[in-house]
Amino acid sequence: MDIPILVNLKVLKKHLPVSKLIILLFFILSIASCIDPFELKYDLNKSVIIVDAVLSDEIGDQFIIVKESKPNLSGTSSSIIALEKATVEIQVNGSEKMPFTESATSPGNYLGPQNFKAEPNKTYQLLITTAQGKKFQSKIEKLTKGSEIKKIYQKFEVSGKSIDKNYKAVHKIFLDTEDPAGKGNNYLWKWRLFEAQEVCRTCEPQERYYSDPFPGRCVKDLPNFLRNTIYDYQCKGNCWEILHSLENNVMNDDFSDGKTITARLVASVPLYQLNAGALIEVRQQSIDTDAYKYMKILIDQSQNSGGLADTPPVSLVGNITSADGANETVAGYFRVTDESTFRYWIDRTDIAGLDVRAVGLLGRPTNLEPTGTDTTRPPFAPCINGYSRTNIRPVGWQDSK
Amino acid sequence: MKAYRKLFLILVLSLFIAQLGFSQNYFSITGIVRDSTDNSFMPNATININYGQKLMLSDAEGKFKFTVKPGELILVVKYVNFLPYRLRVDVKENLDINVYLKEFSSNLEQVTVSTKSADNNIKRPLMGVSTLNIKDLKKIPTVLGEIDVLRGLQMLPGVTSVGEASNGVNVRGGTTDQNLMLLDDAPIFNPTHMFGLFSAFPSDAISGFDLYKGNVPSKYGGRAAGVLDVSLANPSLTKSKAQFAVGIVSTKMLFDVPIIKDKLGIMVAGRLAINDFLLPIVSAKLEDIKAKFADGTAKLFYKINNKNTLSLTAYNSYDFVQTNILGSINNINSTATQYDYRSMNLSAKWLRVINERANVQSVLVSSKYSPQTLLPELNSANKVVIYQDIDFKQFKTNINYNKNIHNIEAGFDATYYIINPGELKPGKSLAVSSIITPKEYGFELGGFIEDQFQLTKKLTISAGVRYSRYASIGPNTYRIYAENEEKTLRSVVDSVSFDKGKVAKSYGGLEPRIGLNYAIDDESSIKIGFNTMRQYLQVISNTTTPIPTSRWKSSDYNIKPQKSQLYSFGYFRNLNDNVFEISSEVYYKTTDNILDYKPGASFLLQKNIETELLQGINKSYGVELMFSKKKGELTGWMNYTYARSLNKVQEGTGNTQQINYGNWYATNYDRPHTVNAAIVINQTKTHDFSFNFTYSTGRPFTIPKAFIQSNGVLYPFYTERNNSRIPDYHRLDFSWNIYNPANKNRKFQGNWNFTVYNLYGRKNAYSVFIRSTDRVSNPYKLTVFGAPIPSLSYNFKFE
Repeated sequence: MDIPILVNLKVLKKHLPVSKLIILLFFILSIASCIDPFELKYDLNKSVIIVDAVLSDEIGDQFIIVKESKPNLSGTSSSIIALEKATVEIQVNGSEKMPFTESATSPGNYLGPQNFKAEPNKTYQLLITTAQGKKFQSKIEKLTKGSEIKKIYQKFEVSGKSIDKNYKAVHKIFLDTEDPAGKGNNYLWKWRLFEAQEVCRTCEPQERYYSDPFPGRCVKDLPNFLRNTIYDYQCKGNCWEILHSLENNVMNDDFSDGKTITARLVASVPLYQLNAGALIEVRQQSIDTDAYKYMKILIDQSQNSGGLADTPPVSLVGNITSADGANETVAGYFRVTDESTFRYWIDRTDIAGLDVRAVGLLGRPTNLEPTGTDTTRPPFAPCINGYSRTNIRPVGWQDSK
Repeated sequence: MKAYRKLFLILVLSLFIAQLGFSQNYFSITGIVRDSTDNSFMPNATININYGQKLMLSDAEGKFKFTVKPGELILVVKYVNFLPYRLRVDVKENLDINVYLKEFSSNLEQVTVSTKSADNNIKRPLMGVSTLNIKDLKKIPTVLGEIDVLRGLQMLPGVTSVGEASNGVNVRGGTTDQNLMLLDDAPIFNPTHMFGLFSAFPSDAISGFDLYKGNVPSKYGGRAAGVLDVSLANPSLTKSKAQFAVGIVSTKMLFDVPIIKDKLGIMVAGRLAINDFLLPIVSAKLEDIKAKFADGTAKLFYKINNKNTLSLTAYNSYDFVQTNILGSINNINSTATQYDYRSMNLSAKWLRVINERANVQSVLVSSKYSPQTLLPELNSANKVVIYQDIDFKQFKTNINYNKNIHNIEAGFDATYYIINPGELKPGKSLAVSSIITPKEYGFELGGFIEDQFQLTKKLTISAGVRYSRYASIGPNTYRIYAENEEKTLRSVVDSVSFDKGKVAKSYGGLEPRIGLNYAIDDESSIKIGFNTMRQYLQVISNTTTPIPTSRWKSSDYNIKPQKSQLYSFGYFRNLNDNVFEISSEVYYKTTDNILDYKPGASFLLQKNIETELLQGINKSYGVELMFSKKKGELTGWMNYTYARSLNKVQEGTGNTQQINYGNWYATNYDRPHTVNAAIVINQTKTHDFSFNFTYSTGRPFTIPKAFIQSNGVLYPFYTERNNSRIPDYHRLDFSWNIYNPANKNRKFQGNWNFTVYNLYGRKNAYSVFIRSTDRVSNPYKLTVFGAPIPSLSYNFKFE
């Protein structure tokens, strides 16, 4: 943050032979007001049950995550522990119970039955019984009908977003959507970004990658003088990096009821690569007013903090409470949402002629293992499908020349 | 004959030469020392010749006599409580010197703490009156050369703020909007420029100001904590004056012009800061910030005759700032957030002197404050505007009457408010709706009588009472909520409408104001005070300090007015012929119906704002100790304050009906320990130095009690409000004033002011907060002025 400072240079010059002083003053002022990391002594003393649950009208987009945040003995940090082997159900219309089963790979994640999705005019209630027998339930929620994303567009900005305090170039991604008549429409946006990925493996210093056995491993077999060198390995075949939105973005229609919500900023995509476009998938969720308020508080006290006039943070109270009178603190929200997805190709040819640099997907220049006398080296690394990488060509992907 | 004449000439000449030769050994210096005020002789004054070569005392008639050799003579005459007299002269003949010594108190340059007479503090029955001299305000260090009334006041006990960018001051545990700030009788609703960095008062045009933090005279009403009454200087009816100041932030000028000698004069003062186009040159980071501000004052003074005077004052203040430091309007999509706010005040005062004992003052006031938020849209020249305003009109009259032991002041006032809480103007936007929030109309009447009288030689009493009544009037419609239930949309049982001019709800009552002074002896006294005040108009804000666009809300059908009661006790003592002054005050204050907000409250363009608010009580108490040295080459003060300000809000038992489970909690500006020190070293008439030191306990903030995870990102989890404190605040400032260096021309005077704010560059925290970036949440500290900030300004005037 910078405090705007005004200097009457012209007038001051008349009276001050040393106009350099002004420049000095500016320098001092620009360092005078700032945001610094702060060593805060926490005194964490609260155990919190965390429930992060979304039931959407799109098949396969349902998840319920049940965890617990526990402070360590000294109160300086919290551990997030997955609550495994809980009984997790969604009760539909007050009777039918849809059981969710824990994922084999990620503990505490509970997945719904195939083909189960939220439908209009039905009610849903989340019921959880932990392995220790503690019971939790959500308020009864209904699907909130929303609207489709009408249009997505981009605008390039040379100094758009602060990454590590340096101002870097970004493509700002905006959307338009029609707000249905009648107040009380609330929106939540998320995105996934697909970028072509060349590097599928990076080893630690002094290590080299060996592709056998699958999926390969890094072995420490390099001399000591390479202790500061790390090597990257190219992908075997096509690979896409999947980046997810980490910031929350919500809005309500209090001031634009029935209008076209225009130019909502949904993402600021850094210039990861210069000569390649990227594909962004934006999801628009329709949420109810209480969920909006919950998200707004969360955003204000974690993303928007640090201004001159912050709103002091408050306790987050979601729609899930103890069902057995235990009065446990529960954070998180059970959202039943209507979803609309839109894929947009970010064309990076609009930077032509501008003096800008790419940040790179690794956040640094790629450093491939050099080819030597051993013609078998360096090997390629496989692109392993998962949350952040895929070898399946995303729908809507456009090949650059 | 010729030869005879020649001889005579030679004789005379040689005699003269002989005489010369003789007196080269001795010249006699004689003199008389007198008091400059009444020309009385001063015996026993110390006469010091050539740095102690010779020392003597003046005799009973103030006379002294000695002889010296020719050459340079340095003479210093000193007397306790008087300014030393210095003389440097090349002695070539006998000298007779008339020395007039000036008493400290008769020399305004040297009086630091009070413009009032020195023992006033002992005799005045009012407590908690801080009178800071405007001349000395100009001597104490500033930020970037901008003389600042509000910053100066924070050096006094009982006056604090949330930090360097706070939009006002907190007086004895009150909120910023609980202070009535008047500039020539017209209220100032936003007292600062650039979100609290600079005060909006035109410091060059001010003649004086009083801060009432304890006993508030009965003539003031409408606020629950303190009164800052700032008066502009009257235009001179005899001498023209032009004054200019060039500083880093702003350029200032002042003209004082008598139009008709001894009849009509005008003073115009202005300040302008518009140099933001330079910012991007300095740093690309500043590119998005646009800022400019200006204020201007004009005062016309007309002396109709010996018994009647008329003065007209106009004040205008304007700010334009584009910034992201105050957040954005989440539900309106824009490329930037711009703030544009202005005040326009007019006041007319007619003073009629009836006779030696009585005078009547009548004042008409109009004050308008209109802040707006401008939101430029993407790919369009259109700006969406959120407009608000407060329209304040007042008539007041009071009579002052002195007879025997009584000083009576009585009067009444009538105020009409129109508040536009917010209007959303989409302009050409197709994305934004037009929204109009209903205007609020209010009428306030007050009447008062106060008598200050000396009952016995030792006991002086100020007894006053004010009666005020406020009516919220139509047209308006209010919701009626189910009793004993939280005010939400769900608890609405009915609504009630009022036609234009009809009283929807009225509040009011008596406000006794009593001050009692018992003089123990000539040098010490004790004082007791009791004060009640009501407030019908307040700022609704859920931020640490209100921002210029924070909404003002009048009491209405659902929102009750605030009422404060202050008890205070003090001990005052002057020492060493009023050179030193010590005082201690203890106070306890309760305020009913203070406003706090529900979690996640939003006030912008809200029609039924009571659903977002909670009302509770505040208790504030403290001890203020002050020591000041008012005379001498070194003047200044030091004070220590222990003060607490706690709120308790519990409208019901639900989570959204109470704060911190209904327990007492510290307010945002609760800072238990404060130490301030200010010293001014008046070196000579041409320059002085001053230092400020301030220390205070860090203000409360809310620290998380757990971390939670959502969507793979860690977030802080909070429980109770204001459960920790930011680091303590301390700072030293330095200022050096040089007056009219090497310039004998009295018509032109140029002064330099060199200031270093935050001399040792402490990075004081303005706030501590947690921000989530990437997947983690880290604590950060925001500093406003985290380095030494030097500044140089040049002031010059023509008389």
